[in-house]
Amino acid sequence: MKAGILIGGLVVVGALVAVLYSGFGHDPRAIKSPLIHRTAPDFSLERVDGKGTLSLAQLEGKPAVINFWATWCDPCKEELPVLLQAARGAKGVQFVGIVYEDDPANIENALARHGGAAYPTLIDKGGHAAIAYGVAGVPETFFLDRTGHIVAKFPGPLEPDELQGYLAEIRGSGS
Amino acid sequence: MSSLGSLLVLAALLASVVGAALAFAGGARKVPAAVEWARRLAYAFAALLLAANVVMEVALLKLDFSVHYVAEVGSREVPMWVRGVSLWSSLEGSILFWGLVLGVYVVLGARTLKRFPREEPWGLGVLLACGTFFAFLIAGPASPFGTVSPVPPDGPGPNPLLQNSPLMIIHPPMLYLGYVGMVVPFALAAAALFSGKLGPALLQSLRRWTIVPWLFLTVGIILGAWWAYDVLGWGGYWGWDPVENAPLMPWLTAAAAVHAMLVIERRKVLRGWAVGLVLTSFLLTILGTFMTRSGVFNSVHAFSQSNIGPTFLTFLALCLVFSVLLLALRMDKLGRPGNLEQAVSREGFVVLGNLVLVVIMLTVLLGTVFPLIAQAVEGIQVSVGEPYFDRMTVPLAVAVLFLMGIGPALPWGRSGAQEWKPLIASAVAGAVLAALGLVLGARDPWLLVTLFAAGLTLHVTLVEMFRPVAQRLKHGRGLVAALKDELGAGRRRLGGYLAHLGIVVALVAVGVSHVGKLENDVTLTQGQSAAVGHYVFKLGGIRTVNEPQRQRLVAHFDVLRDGKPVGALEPALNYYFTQREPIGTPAVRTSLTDDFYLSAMSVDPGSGTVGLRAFVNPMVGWLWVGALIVAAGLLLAGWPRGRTAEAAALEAEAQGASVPSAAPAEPA
Amino acid sequence: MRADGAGHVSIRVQAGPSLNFSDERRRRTNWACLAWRSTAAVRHPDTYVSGSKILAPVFVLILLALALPPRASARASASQSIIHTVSGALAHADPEDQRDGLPAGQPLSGAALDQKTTQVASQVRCPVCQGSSIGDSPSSTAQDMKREVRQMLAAGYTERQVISYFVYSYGDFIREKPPEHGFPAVVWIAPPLLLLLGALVVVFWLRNKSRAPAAEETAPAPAVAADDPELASWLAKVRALDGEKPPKGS
Repeated sequence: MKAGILIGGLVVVGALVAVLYSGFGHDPRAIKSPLIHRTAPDFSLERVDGKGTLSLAQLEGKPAVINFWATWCDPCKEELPVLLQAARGAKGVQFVGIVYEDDPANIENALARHGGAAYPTLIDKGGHAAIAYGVAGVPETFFLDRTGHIVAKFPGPLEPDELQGYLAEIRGSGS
Repeated sequence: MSSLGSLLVLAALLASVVGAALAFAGGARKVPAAVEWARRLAYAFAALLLAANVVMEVALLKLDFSVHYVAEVGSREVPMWVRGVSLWSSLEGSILFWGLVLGVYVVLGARTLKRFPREEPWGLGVLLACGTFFAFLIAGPASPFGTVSPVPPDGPGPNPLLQNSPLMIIHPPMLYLGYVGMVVPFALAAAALFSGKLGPALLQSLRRWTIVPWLFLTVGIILGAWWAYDVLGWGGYWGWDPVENAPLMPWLTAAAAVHAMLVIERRKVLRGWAVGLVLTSFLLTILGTFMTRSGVFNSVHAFSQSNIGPTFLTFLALCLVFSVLLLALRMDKLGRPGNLEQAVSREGFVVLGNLVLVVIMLTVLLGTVFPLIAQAVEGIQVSVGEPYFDRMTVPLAVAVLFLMGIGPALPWGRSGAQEWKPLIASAVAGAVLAALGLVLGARDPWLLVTLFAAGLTLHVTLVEMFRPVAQRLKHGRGLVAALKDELGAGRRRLGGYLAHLGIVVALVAVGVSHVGKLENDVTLTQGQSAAVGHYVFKLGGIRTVNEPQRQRLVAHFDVLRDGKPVGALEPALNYYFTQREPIGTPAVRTSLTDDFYLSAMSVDPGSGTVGLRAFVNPMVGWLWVGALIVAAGLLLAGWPRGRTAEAAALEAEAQGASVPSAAPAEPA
Repeated sequence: MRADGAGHVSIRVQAGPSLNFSDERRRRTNWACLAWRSTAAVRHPDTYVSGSKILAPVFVLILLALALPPRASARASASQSIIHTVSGALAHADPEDQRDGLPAGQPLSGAALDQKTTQVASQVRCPVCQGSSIGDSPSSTAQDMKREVRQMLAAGYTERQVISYFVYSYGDFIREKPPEHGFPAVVWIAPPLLLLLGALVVVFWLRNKSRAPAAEETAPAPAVAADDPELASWLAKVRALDGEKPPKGS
């Protein structure tokens, strides 16, 4: 019997199997954002309604919800009414939509279908803002506290209760 | 249909379970009748899986949408041949097909084992135990035979990529033949460990049965590369994706194992090491399957996030523990470790080559699983991509090239200073090739070193390849007769050197194409032209081709090389009706020196513009040639020869219960 | 990609037989969109051609705009805007090195820019693809990122700055090359270490064994098995099995 092979082999086997097993819990495509707790990257983008540009600095110390989306993405459209409704009801939180690779007409249509815009929607030409926020897929939503720090990032469409939870979090923090 | 298929698979499961139990019990208690029955059950297992595959094929061809798998991949729109090959287009079908291939190998393995009565029960047991797992997988977690209710009128059809290139039709079966085939050497090696003896006859079978899957892996890997090159449109053939790394790893260990077996034959050492490599090759094929089918790895090729991941991991863990235990407990029985007389000898270089091949395998393995390790250990996300693999493997591959050159120039056993003299001529050949590269514009230091090593190895290989012919000529035999001898008695060595030759050609092609690649990304409107390298291409027009299952947008380019027209290329984008993303069909013009490669990124018939990437890839054609030579060499080396009377007698003797004169008592 | 109401979405990715996600909403949605994004994506199979017709010109126009040589003033303003976008993040990314987030190198143009863009792009992983770099991916996200790389290089940012900019927002995940410090250094150190270890084992094995029979190492005679009857009989058997005639001279 070779004790070295036995012990060494079993250690290597155990480690390999453990590592492979640990992979089941994770989606290999979900990217964790390193921007959490950091200052949100600035942007200055044109509004889809033609009312000039909007930059992060103009949010004036309010907590903010920044939602990256597009009309060609089904889940984004499922999520849109949730956001619009929350924005209409939420006091003291600024919602911003940033649309990526899309056509203004499509966006206006989508908004109109849910009772019109409740917050500014910006067009991100060339994806500068999306890249600055490390967006890897749409929809993705970032929650900023009043000091402009990113508190959380949510990939995928938000449900109303999830959204309310995050809103409470950013209202309470950063003061 | 569904119930018939399920029944057949369940019967196969039963056959393999009972067979494996009978085989192991028969081996342990020495009951030949039980082993006899195990063998019959092995044949039954194969027949039942064959029948299950036939049932699925019939269902696919007749579009019986009540069968779960047919509902998933069948479609009335696609041509008959696509229906036929969609057996391996998706997860469940591919596992069923896998079962068929396994059945074939189980039969072949059982037939080989029949010649080794002492090892047969253990080998059969291992084969059928693997069969049990796959039959279980097909019967349960990955069953393609579920019933669909209500029966859908039509299905989505198989993945368009399958329809897009005929390479995709033969690539998976080749790879499966390689992957699954490792089960035979695994069973033989495990049987040798169980019986505690690796005699010459078993060694010969083990070597041959390692070469078989190794050959198929070679073909599968290269077809995969060719497919990536021909279909994916990024101008490359290898991206170090987990799906590419998966077959490469067992390929490397199989290469090491076959060479280690040469040393066993000549020096009777390295038996435990070679057997360990064979076991590892099999384990790596299981790991590779897990990688592409568990959804744990971020791969271009990941199959569905299905529930077979945990089942597969359990099987992998069992195989790993079994192999480690078997090796640790029984390796000593194979014989005394032995020694090498001298490091500077052919066997010394084989040992070094083995070391480097195994390190390359471990590097690829580490790089592939590292994102998982980093996630598990540190909770961080990292990527390990092409730049890493290139930087780590290039020096190691160059080392292999050198070892392949120097090793065969040295004799077995001991060597003296005079053995090195012929290498001077080979080094000159290497210098000539490197100088040629320098003249042609190669400046990359690694490429120049590669060319030097390649020249050296090429010279040594050719000299060694034709040495017996030259000797026979010297002894007065005719050229034809000498060549005939070489193809007969010298087939093994000829095959081996041919494979080396192919590897040299392929590695040079890889190096040159990697370093010398030129690219130009442009958007052209009709009549406009652009250039890359010494090629100029002009957009002649766009046409739309409507086919039953897709629409093709074909861009027509007239190509000039050094100012002379050399024909037209027509890259296309294919829009399949079942999928929104178009699949490109790049157009390639291959010549002896380089490939001119056009890949359409966007085609707009309205404005007549085409966005495309144009590449000049030097020497890529030689990669396929090199691979073909390797495959031919392996075929030659692995081809079974008619058994001589002497050999038969020897086998009989080797199988005798006690052979005191031939096998001295093993040290306790 | 198909989606049905029952929460089952299967994606067909560019290079794989099939991907099916039928479980969590999050994963499904996010990644469903990823696959969509890489090309002109439209909802129903029957409308896909018209959809691509709508989006393709946009794509082509963007490419065309990129391919056309911009006027000097346009280029200057482009580099101003990229500096504006990037500098804030860069100043945070690596305060020691980037200080104020301004370009630390020479602005590039022409062939040098092309070459450097290709080189840097090959080191940035495409976040929406599966494993390929932004240099190799045809997806529009990758194209955007490649354009960002180009603009940054044209504005005078160094390779290191460009990579840190992407790492700042995406994390180390975005680097095709794992970092050389911290835990990921393992992946760089282990292979050479393994090679060294393996070489030591081989050397140890050789020394250990050669102590016994070594002596006449000067004798160059390649008489392999002359002094070992056991090996000789083994060799004879191997050769017989191989159909070889009695041992050849070589």
